[in-house]
Amino acid sequence: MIDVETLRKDFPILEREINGQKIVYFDNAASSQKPVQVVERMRDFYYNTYANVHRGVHTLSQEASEQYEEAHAVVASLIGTKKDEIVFTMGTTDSINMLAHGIEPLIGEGDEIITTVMEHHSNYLPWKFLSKRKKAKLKIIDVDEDGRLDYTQLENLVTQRTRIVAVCHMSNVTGFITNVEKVAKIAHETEAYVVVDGAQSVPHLPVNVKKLDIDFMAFSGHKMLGPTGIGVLYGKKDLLKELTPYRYGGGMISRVTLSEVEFQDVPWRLEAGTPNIVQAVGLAEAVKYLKKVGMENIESHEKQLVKKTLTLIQEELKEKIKIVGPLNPQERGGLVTFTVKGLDHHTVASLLDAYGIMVRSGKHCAHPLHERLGLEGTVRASFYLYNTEHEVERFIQALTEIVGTVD
Amino acid sequence: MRAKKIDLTIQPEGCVNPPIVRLTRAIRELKQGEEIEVIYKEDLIPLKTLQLLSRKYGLSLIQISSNKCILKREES
Repeated sequence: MIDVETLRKDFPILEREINGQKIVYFDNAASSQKPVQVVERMRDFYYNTYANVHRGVHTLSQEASEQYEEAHAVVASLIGTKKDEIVFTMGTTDSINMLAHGIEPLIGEGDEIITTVMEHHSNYLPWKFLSKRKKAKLKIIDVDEDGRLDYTQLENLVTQRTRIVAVCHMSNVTGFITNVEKVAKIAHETEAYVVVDGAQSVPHLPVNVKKLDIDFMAFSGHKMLGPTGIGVLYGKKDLLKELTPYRYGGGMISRVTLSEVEFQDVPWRLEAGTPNIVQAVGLAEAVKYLKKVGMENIESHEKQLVKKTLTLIQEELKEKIKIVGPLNPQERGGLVTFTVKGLDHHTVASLLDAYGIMVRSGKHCAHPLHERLGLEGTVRASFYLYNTEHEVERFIQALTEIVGTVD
Repeated sequence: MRAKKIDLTIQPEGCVNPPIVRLTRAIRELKQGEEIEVIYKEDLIPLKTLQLLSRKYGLSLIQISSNKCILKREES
């Protein structure tokens, strides 16, 4: 169990008042707040250790290099792998684009890439344009009316020509949690690689890439208490070695002549140029924070908040509010997306903001899913470890007043 | 002083800067004695909803016609 009241003291921003009320930050699926430990770690690194990594013989560079490399190991430990399978990127979008570029030579005309209708654009567009470039077929798995993935359709779509199956672990709209192990089992009956968008799962659930038996996974630091500008591409080591580098430059090579290039081993060969050193150190501190709280505890805390939100909406606002996604909290992660009868999603979010409650409205970079579910736009409240049941009650109270203005 | 005018009935293409966001931004910038003229449509955003919004920001709302109202930050 999480001692939320104690933990909230690590997040000074939560004390801020907007429009005369203490803020309720329910926009965690877009980006999370940062604890003092992460900010202080980065400040301390800048004040006492900062230098460029890998290229210096001096003390600061060596210390910075050690801590940058250690950051890989810390992040790896969160998802059950080792540091040489962790490539630092700028974020999930960057990771998937790096992968789609790197894997391009392995895709031939007529090969197949499978993804789903519920993807964030960052796990749809890179595959769409890769398939276009390579004249490969892009196949899309459908969802049901509550946003559940159709695994039977996946079984039917996978063939010996399938090279990639790219799915999100958790939908950023419906909160639906994909049974990734099942997807991997189906995909690995062929030689397809399984790519998982973990942007919404890694910050909120225990994830072990080895148990899931996936080939690649992408996630972002800023959604998991870390800074912006840092993300991760996990890949099985042998597969990372196969990827064509996305960027060429310093730090990735062991020897260059005018006629030859010898690359470093992974992950360095995929991290050309000066990396986001301080952000990596900050992300590692965020991971330590999350591990201290416990991923199982975070998952169970968020499920409790989701359960309370769904129950209160069902009991008190059912006539005016339609929940998007499965109603069973066990099938979903820590967010609740909805529409309000008679009010546009941006209007609802703007009104909630007047109550000091921060939510997100729109299509959440998942236009195909909104189109599939017949939605113009939605409002999304997304939770994290520092949110409380009291905040959920404030949210429901505000929603009750808002929907009360519509006849 | 000329009142700022925001038309909530014009819905832009895409997801950038919807009129309700322009309205709330204008409300936050509103100084004492200043007002905003709001054009609305009851089936898009009911007057009662605008009344709630103005109340939350401590503004007065004066209905001018069936599709027009004034939000004002009164002098204290």
